[in-house]
Amino acid sequence: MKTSYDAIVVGTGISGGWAAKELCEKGLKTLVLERGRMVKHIEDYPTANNDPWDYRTGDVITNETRKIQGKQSRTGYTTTESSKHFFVNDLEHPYNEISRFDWMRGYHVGGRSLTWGRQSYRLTDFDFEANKKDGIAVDWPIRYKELAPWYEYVEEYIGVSGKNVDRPEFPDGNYLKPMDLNCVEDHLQESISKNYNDRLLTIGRTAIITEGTKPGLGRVSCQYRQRCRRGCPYGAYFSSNSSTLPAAEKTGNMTLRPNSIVHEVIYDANKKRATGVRVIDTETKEVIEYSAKVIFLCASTVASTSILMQSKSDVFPNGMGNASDQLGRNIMDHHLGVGASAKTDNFQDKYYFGRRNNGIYVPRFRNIGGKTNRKDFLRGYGYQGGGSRGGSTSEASEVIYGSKFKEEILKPGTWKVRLSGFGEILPYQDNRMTLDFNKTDKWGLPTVTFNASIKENELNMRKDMQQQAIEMLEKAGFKNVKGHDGDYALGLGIHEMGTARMGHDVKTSVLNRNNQVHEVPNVYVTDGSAMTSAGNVNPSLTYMALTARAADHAVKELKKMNF
Amino acid sequence: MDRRKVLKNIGTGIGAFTFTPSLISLFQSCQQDSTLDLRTFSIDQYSFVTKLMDIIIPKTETPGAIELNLNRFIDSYIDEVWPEEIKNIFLLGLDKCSQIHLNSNSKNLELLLDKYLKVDKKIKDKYDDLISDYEEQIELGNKASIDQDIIEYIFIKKLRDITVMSFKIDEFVAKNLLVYTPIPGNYKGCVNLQEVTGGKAWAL
Repeated sequence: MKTSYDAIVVGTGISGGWAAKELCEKGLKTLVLERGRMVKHIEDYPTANNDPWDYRTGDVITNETRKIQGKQSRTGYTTTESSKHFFVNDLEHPYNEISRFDWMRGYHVGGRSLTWGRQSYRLTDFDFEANKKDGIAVDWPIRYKELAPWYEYVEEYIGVSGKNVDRPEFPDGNYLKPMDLNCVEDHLQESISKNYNDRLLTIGRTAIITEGTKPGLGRVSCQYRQRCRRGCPYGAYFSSNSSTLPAAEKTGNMTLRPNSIVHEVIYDANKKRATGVRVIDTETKEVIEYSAKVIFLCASTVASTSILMQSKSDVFPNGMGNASDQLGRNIMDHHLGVGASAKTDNFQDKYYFGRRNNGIYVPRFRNIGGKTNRKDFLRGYGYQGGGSRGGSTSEASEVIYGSKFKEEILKPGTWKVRLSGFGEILPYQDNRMTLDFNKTDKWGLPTVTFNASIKENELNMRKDMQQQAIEMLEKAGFKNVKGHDGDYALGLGIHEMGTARMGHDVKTSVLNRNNQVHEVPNVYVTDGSAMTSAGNVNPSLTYMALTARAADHAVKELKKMNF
Repeated sequence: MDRRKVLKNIGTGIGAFTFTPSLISLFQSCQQDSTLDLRTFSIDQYSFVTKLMDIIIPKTETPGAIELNLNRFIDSYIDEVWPEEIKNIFLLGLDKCSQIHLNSNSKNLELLLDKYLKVDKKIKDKYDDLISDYEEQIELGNKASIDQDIIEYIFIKKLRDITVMSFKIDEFVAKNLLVYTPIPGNYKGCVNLQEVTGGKAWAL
């Protein structure tokens, strides 16, 4: 196998797939390295058509799974029998927790693009300007207008369904036909519009095709089976496997190498450039070096940061590009698990057809100027959730068993509705990940240690998140309105980010405005680690836009012979 | 007799433990029963649970819980899915109920179900909150305890819940009694229940 390429991309998830596609389409011979096994679109989705009765336990997580995927199971939904093969074995891939940190990972081609939540939102200037305005951490080195065309570009390619609402805090995009709200959500939407000037409810913007087709391996419209997390045989939701990797493959410029753990970026002190990467082949245990003119780290936040931390040399004794000592710090996520739920006795004669794997969205309405500004916390939150009508169980207290009960439980139950907050977490220097070089994994590589927690700002925000959710549901006339605030630890949102932040200054940040490592300009980091602040929206779309933009920059720099 | 428990006892060995003829015959009788190969319940527990499940979802013109083998299903489900602590509390509750009711007729078993399922809603909500807090802690791997006074309630409630759950994910029920659409192909948010499913729930 060839060992020299124009470009190397580390990782095949949301960001890696985009880097591979863009670099290959722009003519670069690109080596794409993935630490896990191969997963081919459709062919390697073994559970995609299974029904609950195809499992001895009805597709519920078993004790056996809990034993080997204990941490991966903390969300409660990631490791069902039909999806557990897309999450790692915690015994084989250990990490350390000074404070609880829920690190959900998928080590395989496609990474978490196969299992992601698909919600696709843009950051706004409320986010890009926030750190500067609040005097927190460092300023983002970019603004919305610089990223907007790239949002447009990736939305068009992947297919995002949703609705434009003409609100600056929730910018419009390039959307396919929105999915329907159900009748309870319709009602809540009306009630919110009637009762509030500052908020609205709309259908979630999701990376699912709702009309026509999109490029990739035969990507067509959603069949509403609600089995996304197992891999979609229709390619209806965006994944690297169905979309970007096939596009890269089609150019003939991509060499995809699974089972390859990158653990170090090689640095040439004379050229002041990275020259390649060091890889462990997980099948042969062989250590191999590959060289390239430009390197994209897209291995996910924690993994890309770990690679930089392990890339030590005389010039970089504390890890590559770490002059600022910010590498591994400022780890963020979105805090969730707080909100409210309710029931309604109305709409008994209404139901839905099909299973919509998407919910509602209430965009941020706090700290966006004027009356919305708060004294008790900075930043904001949005709500996701929606209405649902599950089966009936013990609602009717008169009928509790017997033949009448048997008839009852075959009918749909009461409608329920839920608002669940997703809140911004501030970047705190001492919320960090470090490497433990004394405690190594089975490859002899250091393990990651987490020490991070939410603080006063987030805790105050959570009170408001719960209270406002209760209030909106009560104003809509729902009954049994109940607030909830569950256990949250960083990572549970599966939006870990910020550990190699972008910034203007090499003294206070790791990456520059083009996602280049300040000190090593031919190394780009375009996954979640680049995030200077977290915003309050699901971040994957931003990683895609940043990656496409950075790839464009890298190719221009190459043409100028700068690398 | 639960063969697995017998084997386990032999395995842990209580000092001088020898195979007496009576023990061997007991062992053989277990093996004859072993077509059941129970994982959660003893034979007695299993037969008690079977009687209750037959009352909860009886055979009508369509098969009930027992014809659908849901008692077998939950025996293996509880063992494979429930954390040990939760399973043990459930079995404690079962034993407490069955002490009094092992040989009760179905009328008395109905009274047993009534006693715990017809409790006042406020009390029921309080119990259910206690149970869900407890189970959440156990599932997070934390230590937790539960009020011993409500373990009969826990058993009856969880037995009914799991009977209903297993009924609805049974292939026959899903395909014949509910409305099964593996590939809807379309989504409509607000439709008329009667027109779309004739009042039935979706199977998936």
